[in-house]
Amino acid sequence: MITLDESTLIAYVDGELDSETNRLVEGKLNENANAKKYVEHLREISALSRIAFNDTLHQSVPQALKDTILNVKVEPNQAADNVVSFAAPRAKNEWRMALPMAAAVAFLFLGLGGGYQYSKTSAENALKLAAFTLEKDKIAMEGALNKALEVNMSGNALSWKNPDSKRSVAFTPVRTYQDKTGTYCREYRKDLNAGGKPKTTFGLACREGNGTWKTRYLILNNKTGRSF
Amino acid sequence: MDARTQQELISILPRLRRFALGLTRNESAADDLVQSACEKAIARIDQWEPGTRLDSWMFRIIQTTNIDQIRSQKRRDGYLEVIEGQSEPSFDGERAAESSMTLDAVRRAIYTLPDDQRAVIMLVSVEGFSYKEASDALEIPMGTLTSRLVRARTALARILKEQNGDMDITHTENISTLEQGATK
Repeated sequence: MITLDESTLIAYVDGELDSETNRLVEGKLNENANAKKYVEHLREISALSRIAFNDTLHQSVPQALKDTILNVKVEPNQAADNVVSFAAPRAKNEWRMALPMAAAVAFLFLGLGGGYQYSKTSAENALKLAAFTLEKDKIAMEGALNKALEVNMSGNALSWKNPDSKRSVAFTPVRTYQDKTGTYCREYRKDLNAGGKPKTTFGLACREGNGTWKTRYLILNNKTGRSF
Repeated sequence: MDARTQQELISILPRLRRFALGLTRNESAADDLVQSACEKAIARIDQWEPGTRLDSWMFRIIQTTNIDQIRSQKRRDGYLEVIEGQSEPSFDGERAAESSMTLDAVRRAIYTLPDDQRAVIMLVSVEGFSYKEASDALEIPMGTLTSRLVRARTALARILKEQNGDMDITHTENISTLEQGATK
């Protein structure tokens, strides 16, 4: 027996109930219009709270604050980190750009004729391979995201990792909504690590009829990730 | 501090400023708070366990620094402190005439909450932390976290409902427009 008290409804909105309790609450909500309305109200406030404080994320950080951290003497770690840079805020563009870039470079090499092309083959292959790996990782990560959203309870991460490209990602569904048309949408957290650089972004994805989840928007934590 | 930690600390600064703004309700006070917290963190960086979350550790330092500052001095900004246990957080009725919830109204409603409830809302609602992550970051028991959260959410629901009068939930379009706008 479950009562639709405030703390239960709040935990329900936050996606913090176990699947059994969740099911019971959903069943009860269907019989209780007032509680359902309250849940919608709570959801709306949560969504708006998130957005209400987004401005700060998009402001530039005062230089004095950055200097406090930058002026600290650091022990260098492996320089290799910066070679294959894969920062999340630009990841979308990188996905898009990598293949055309590789194609353009390959085209250039081909256009320059036989002998020259021959000497550049290994560079070309390396580029192709990098682009190929990037594309493969992209597809695998999309698969992992879909699985996380389809299967995982809120708060439980699903991790994926490619030891060869040193890219890894964990997707954690944060919260589940149902919009007016009955479509399920879930907010998720994405912890990407590429070449030793961790990056966290948030997204909201909604479920399409065929069981695929499509990201409707992404919240980037840090627009100025590379500016220092 | 190693270079990677330094880099990560720089990259989470926007989120630290957001959390601090939620706690202090004032931008310059927020930056002062993040500044002190970063200085503390740098001084005791050896207490941070590599492999654990740097953001959670920083949120905790910001929270405790803020509590210390509140205790040791009168707040510089003009807000009244709402002491936990007082039942009705007062709300400025200036905007009560508005027909729909605005982001400003939500922010102001959050600002009326007591400090400890605001910290919880900032982590769970704004940062998207799970209850477990938030209770770890704030070093409070799960039961304390959930009771603060329930009190905060109930208060927000009431404040924002009063504002809206007889509210009908039809703001979904507004939300998605705003969110899309924020990411493009």
